[in-house]
Parts: sequence; C-alpha cells; structure tokens
Amino acid sequence: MVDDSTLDKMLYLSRLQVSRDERSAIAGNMSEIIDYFAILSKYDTSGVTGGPGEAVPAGELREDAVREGLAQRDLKGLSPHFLDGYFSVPRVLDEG
Amino acid sequence: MITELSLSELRGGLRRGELTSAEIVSAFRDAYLADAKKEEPLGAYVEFFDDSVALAERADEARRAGEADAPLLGLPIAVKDNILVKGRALTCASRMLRGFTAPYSSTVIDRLLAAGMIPLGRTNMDEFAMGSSCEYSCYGPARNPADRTRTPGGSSGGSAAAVAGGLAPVALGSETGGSVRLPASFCGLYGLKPSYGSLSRYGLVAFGSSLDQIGLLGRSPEDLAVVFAAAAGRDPRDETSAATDFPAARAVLDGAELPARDFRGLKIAVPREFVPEGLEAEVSAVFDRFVRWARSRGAFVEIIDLPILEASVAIYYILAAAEASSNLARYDGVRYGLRAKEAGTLFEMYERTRSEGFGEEVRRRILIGNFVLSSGYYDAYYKKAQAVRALLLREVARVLAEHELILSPTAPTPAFKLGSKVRDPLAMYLSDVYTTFANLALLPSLSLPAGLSREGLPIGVQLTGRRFAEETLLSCAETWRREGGGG
Repeated sequence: MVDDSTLDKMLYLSRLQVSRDERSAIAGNMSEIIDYFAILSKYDTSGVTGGPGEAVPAGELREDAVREGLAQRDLKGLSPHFLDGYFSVPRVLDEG
Repeated sequence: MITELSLSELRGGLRRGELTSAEIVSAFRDAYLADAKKEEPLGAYVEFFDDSVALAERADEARRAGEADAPLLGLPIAVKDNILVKGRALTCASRMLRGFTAPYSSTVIDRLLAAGMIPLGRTNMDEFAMGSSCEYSCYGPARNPADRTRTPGGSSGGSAAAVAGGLAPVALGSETGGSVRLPASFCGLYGLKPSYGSLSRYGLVAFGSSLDQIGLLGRSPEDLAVVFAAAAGRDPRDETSAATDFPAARAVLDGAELPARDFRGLKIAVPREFVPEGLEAEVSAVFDRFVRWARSRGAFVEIIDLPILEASVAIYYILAAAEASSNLARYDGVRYGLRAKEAGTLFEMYERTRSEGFGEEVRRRILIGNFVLSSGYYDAYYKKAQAVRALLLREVARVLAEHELILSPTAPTPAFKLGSKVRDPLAMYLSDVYTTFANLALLPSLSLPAGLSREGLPIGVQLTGRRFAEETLLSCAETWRREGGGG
C-alpha cells in the first residue's frame, strides 16, 4: 500500500531522510499499521458531528494584559545555537 | 528500610521526627548508586540530581525552624524526562533534545515544589513517550524489578522501575494511551491516569495534545491521592485544564486518611470485548479473582457489550500519530537541542537534524501521522478516526450513566521479554488494547496490582470512572489494598 512515491511524499512532508536499506522495512511496517486502521470502516459515522474537544465558553477570555515572558538567560538553555539573543541558522536565502 | 516505605509512611516518619528528609533522600540515592553498579541495572533514571540531598537538608532546616507548613515538605518524587523542571536538562529520552535545559517548570512541578517536594531525578522513558516497553529510549531500556530480562512497560517505564525497585517512593509519568497504567500493571504498582483536564499540561512536552495527561505511580492509593491533590486544579496556562475540586484527595493532603469505598451496590461494567475467550490464562485468573472479590463485597458486576472498544487502538494510533507529527514539527534544529553538522542549506539542516535526532519509532509515527493527515487520505483516516472517537465517547458515556465503573484487565499479558516486540510495531501497539479508550474518552483510569503470575510477574486490573471521578477510583483501590489485595 505504501509504495515508493507515497513513501517519498511522506518523507518530504515529515522532513526526514532514510537510507536505501531502511526503505522497504519502513514501508512494510507502515503498510501493516495502515491496513490495521481499516477496522474503522466497520463503524457507521454518517451524521456524526463534533469531536471530543470542548469549546471554550464564550466570554471566558484571558485578561488583555501584558505578561512577562521568558527571560533571555533561560532561553539560552534551549539550544547551543542561541547567541546574542538570536538563534543562529544556516543560510536561508539563495537556496535554489 | 526507608526505601520500602510508602510516601505516606515517610510523611508520617517526618512528622513524628523519626526520620529526616536528608535520611530519606540519601537512602534513595544510595539505592540508585548501588543499583547502577549491578550487572543489569534497572536503568530507571537518566539522571539522578546531585543536589537532591542538599535540597533535603534545606527542607530539614525549615522543619527545625518551624517553617514546615508545606504539606509534603522534604518528600522526594521521581520525574519523567518529559516534564519540565526549570534549570534542569530534559531530553524525552531522545538524541534530539541533548543539550536542552528547561527554561521554566511545568505547572505540576511548580505546585509540587510549592508543596515542599524534592525532585530526585529524571526517569527513563520511550522516546517522546512513544512506546509500550521503554525500549525506544536513546539511553537503552529500563528493566522490570520483578525480572530484569523483562520490560517495565512503557512509556513511563523508568518511573515504574524506580518506584517498584525502591529508588523512589512515588513518581510522575505521563499518559497518551496507557503509558502510566501499563507500567503500573507490569511492575505491581498503583498507577493513575487522571481525567483530561485534571492536571495542567503546561510544561509537559506535547505528544498528542488531545490525549496527553500527566499521571502518577506509587505503592498505595493514598500516595497517589496526596500528590494528585497537590498538583490538580485550573491553570490559566492550559486552557484545557479544569477547575474541578477534589475534596477527599485534598483532605488526605491535609492529613486525613483516604476513605475506602463501600462496594455494596456499586455497579461495575465489564466489557465483553476486554475479556475475550483467548485472554491469557494467568491474566484471566487474576481478573476473575478480582471480580469474585468485588461481588463478594456487594458490587454488581455485569458483563456488557461495547463493540466500539475494538476500534480504540486504531482510533488512538491515527489521532496520536497525527497530533505527534504536528507537535514534533517544532524540532527543526533551530530552536531545540540537536543540530546536524555540515548541512549546507536550511532545508538540509531540517532533514538531517530530524533524521539523526529521532529514533525509529518516532520517525515511524511522524510518517504515519503525515500520511493520515495528507491530501487523499485525510477523510478516510483522520476524519474517520475523529468521528469514531465521537461515537466511542457517546457509547462509553452511555455505559457510565448506568454503571459507576468500567472494569477490565490493564494489559493482555504480564511484562514481556525485552526485545520480543521491538521489531513488530503492531504487536507493541496492541499492548495498549485495554488502555487507550480511557484517553480517547477523557476519563480517569487507575491500574491496581491484582495478583502475580506463576513466575511472580505482577498483573494489574484497571478501573475506569466517570470524568473527574478520580476519588472514586482511589477509594475503590484503597478498599482492595486494605483487604490485602495489593500485597
């Protein structure tokens, strides 16, 4: 079910790479799991609306006030690439 | 021995002046250090905090100075490695988060620290809480104290191994589909998955946001009640948290005993789908014994049909994977922990970082999540799963309108051997066959130690209640414990 082009598309969407050796095992596992999901077709869901989420009652809004955010010194711990108040990244423009 | 005492017993010892916090924390640290030297250590902790004894000494000073008004002052707790403690490392047992330090504490941790608790260390887990055996950890697996060749369950396997192995009196875990109850069952502990909304999710690393909930592992229902009471309540930082009051649990925190529930007249439903003909004989025997006990105490235990439960694992793995693929998109090499070296462009950096940082199971779930969300498959999988989840909610609510509890085994087997399912993801997923419905239906659910297999492996039984009926579950478990069932 998960053929080469589907796997490539999912890898792209997931921003993941896999080695050539891993491809067939990954596609096989995915296919087996997705086949298992077919059990859901047994259940008639026509006319079912809504999910488990509860709407936040109207009017229950947070106070529109400025709150203190995280301190820069604490943000430094997120990544070793946090320098001078910024996250450094590789070149973004001119990627072709 | 200190390490064999429950949290409530340690609390009593502190209050009476028979123990100091430093003695308690040192005992757990020494037990951890001794275990780490063994040939097959439990692997329960990924870090034991060096300053825990110093924090305990500070708590002792406060107590001596008469400043002991914090209800859990000086009592230790182990913390799963996906719950933020400000200033401490956190990795979710993933290479992706090596080098990450928590910039703030989760609300649950803030409240437990305010109650005086001392975090002992970070416990091992399946990477990003995705797994049922604690084997998908970048640190290697945690082991089951009852048999070290077996899994302690997952994903909160390190938390369960720590408590069952005498390395912590109580621990925080987290649940998305059974990650506290399964380890509780495998390790012979009490494990509580609170209702969705009972505990704030702020500072719990997100996996499946419509399902995630911090949970508790301990040696007695009372231990769970005190920690739950200290941590529960509305949090403005989590819009899904609820302002529910838990007066009985709060009373336990204030020093009262946890009341045992009188089973006379208690209506309990056992879904036929959860006690199939092929259920493993030893699990079946332990479960039947529990049912006989409940009936002997006056409960009405009725076998009911709830066929939608057969869909729960499929619904769960579609929705949890979809939510995970979205939640884990943030790990791009820019803002958190790992960044792949030698990436020329930004896109290459994303791909290489994520491919190097995430382990096999996490990558698989991200791929499945993107599959069920992608154009052409969305309606057939994601939307369908949402609709069947809505049906499941309705059907389970119908049962709980008539019955106070849903009773089932916690897991289809006792703890399995390490390595036996790690190459078969679908078999691993089916370990959660009895647990996921409670997460999907937002309900509280508790696993209690109900007996042992012939090999001495713990087997759990699961009580699931109405939303926010955590106190009912704890009180029913307390009845079982007092009558020697847990022991």
